[in-house]
Amino acid sequence: MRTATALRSRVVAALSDYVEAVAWSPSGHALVVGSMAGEAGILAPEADGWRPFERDHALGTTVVGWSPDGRFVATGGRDGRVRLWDPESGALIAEESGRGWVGALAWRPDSSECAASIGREVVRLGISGATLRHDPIESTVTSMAWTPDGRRLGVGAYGGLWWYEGDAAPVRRFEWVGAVLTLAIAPNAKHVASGNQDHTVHCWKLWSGSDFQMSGYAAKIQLVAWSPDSRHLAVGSIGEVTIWDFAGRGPQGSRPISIDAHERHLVGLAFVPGRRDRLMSAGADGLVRIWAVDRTKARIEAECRFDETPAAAVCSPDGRSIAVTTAEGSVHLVELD
Amino acid sequence: MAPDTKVPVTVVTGFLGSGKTTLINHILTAEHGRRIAVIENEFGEIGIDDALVIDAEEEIFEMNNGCICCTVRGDLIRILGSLMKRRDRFDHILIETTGLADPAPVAQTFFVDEEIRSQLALDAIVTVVDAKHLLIHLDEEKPEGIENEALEQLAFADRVLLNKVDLVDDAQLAEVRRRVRGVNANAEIIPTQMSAVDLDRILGVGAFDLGRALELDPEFLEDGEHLHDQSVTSVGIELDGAVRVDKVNEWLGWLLSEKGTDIFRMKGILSVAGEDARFVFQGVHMLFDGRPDRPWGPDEKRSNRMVFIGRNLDRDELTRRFAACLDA
Repeated sequence: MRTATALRSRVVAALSDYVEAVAWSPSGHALVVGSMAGEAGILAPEADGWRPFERDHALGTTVVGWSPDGRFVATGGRDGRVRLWDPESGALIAEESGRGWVGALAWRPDSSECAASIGREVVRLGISGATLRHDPIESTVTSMAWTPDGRRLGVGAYGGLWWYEGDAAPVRRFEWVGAVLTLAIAPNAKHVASGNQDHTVHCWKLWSGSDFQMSGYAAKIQLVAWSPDSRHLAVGSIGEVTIWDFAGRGPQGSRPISIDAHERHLVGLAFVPGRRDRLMSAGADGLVRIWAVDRTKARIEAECRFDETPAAAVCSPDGRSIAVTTAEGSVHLVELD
Repeated sequence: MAPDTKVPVTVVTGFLGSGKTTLINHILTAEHGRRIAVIENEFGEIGIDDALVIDAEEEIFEMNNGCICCTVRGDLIRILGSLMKRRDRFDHILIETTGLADPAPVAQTFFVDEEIRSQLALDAIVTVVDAKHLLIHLDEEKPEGIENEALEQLAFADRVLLNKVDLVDDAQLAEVRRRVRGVNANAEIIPTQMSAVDLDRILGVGAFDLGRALELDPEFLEDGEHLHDQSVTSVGIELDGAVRVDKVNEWLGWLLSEKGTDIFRMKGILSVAGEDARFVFQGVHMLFDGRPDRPWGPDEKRSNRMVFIGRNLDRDELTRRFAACLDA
């Protein structure tokens, strides 16, 4: 039996509280990071280290995102504020506020604007300073994602998915009775998957809207992630990971690969960019694991153990490192080779 | 996380004007050494010193899990989950519901969401009532299909703060007590003025703790004051002997699927045939939680006790079906 390679990690920053908001720059040289204490800023491990922005998000930073062209970052928090920043100078570019927490954030693929939710409201901050606010939907927005072509923005909440196109009211709605907690659009734009409070994963075809459901989970679904080739969908529920195969006739009626990945709940789940069939999972049990996924099973290829409690984990765009943030407030880097 | 590190959560319900906000203020300002977070639904006047007050907008999620009456509070799942991520952890969390709220979704949130269950423990539901106006609320005729919230809030309570007792005379107070008992024979009634209550009687009481919840009032089981004029009542049943667990399962499964919407709370201690330990359980509507408890004492009389609080309960039928579960 082959044993898992032990990976090493190093601490690259120490913030004051729980860090769950973290995103890589497209170049992979820096991270935008925010903590529950409200601080947010740029972390460049190989350059000038931690550079906090001038303004905090009172009660905690919840979401961050780096524009695909690398020129801007966005932060949002429990103060109901969304901000766009220049990552180089630290200058504040734009700010919008509203009633409720900022729950989700997504840069448009062409980097022209960043969409974010404040409570039940979707706001869109353009890099030119123009801002658009959509009418609030019925329920608090939990998740959002742009289609790969940037034409439509999908928004998840209790009641299904709402699709925005242009500046008008939602052009479509995929109705569904449960509470959507997370969503992911396949890179090939064929499907969208939602992870739900009531222990199910729901999938819709774009754009026929025909749908199907994967159930049988023991708990709510907190994470869903597509493989870069759109063939696999990984689903995280507490410590369990299942991997559905969308090749051929798709996952309906098929049996997924199921792994007891972690002893406590998952905090990160992603296919590693640039590495075929490698899945990264991170758990509050203090482990970050790399799985080799084949047709019928997944085995641990490498793992990294932490004394602290991981709170989030994200793969760098080149797939060579993983940034792991913790409940204790630190940011670690794990190099994969 | 070990169960003993779970943060207790107290739910405070009550009509506007009952003294609910006064109670929260009293809890926040009293000397108790606890760090408290308050999640409230109404803009109350709350003094904050060492506490965090979060304003929540009630968001009810229907759970698509085959349990027809199961609803949870989506906003609470988010807020409570977030509170547990803070480094400066709170010792206690208070949830204030709106005056018109049905307490079921709040309670059910603690049964349904695994993240909440693993880190937080529902401690007790405290219902504040205004002794002078309670009967008016209870007797208010509601249109068909509309709930009487005052009745529901009483039915769910583990502690009833009978407030403003200075505004009623002894005869009125006795009548109010009788009516409260009629609806909910299991809750402890605490008469107060200006919501001034010894906090140890309402915080950290473990009313939803399976082991402690069932120190049932023996008088209650005797059915002393049964009121036939009320749709919401309590039924307590005590049976000697041992029950068969398969029969109890079958019966409760049937009962909750048929009558789950009408059964607000349910608690019980069972003496299971062939088992040395007591089996304890409790439920909110159709949701149910149970486990083996401590062993029966050598001199302890093995008996089965069950309490139902709900609407249109048929004592005779419940007793008959419970008795049919006895190991013959």
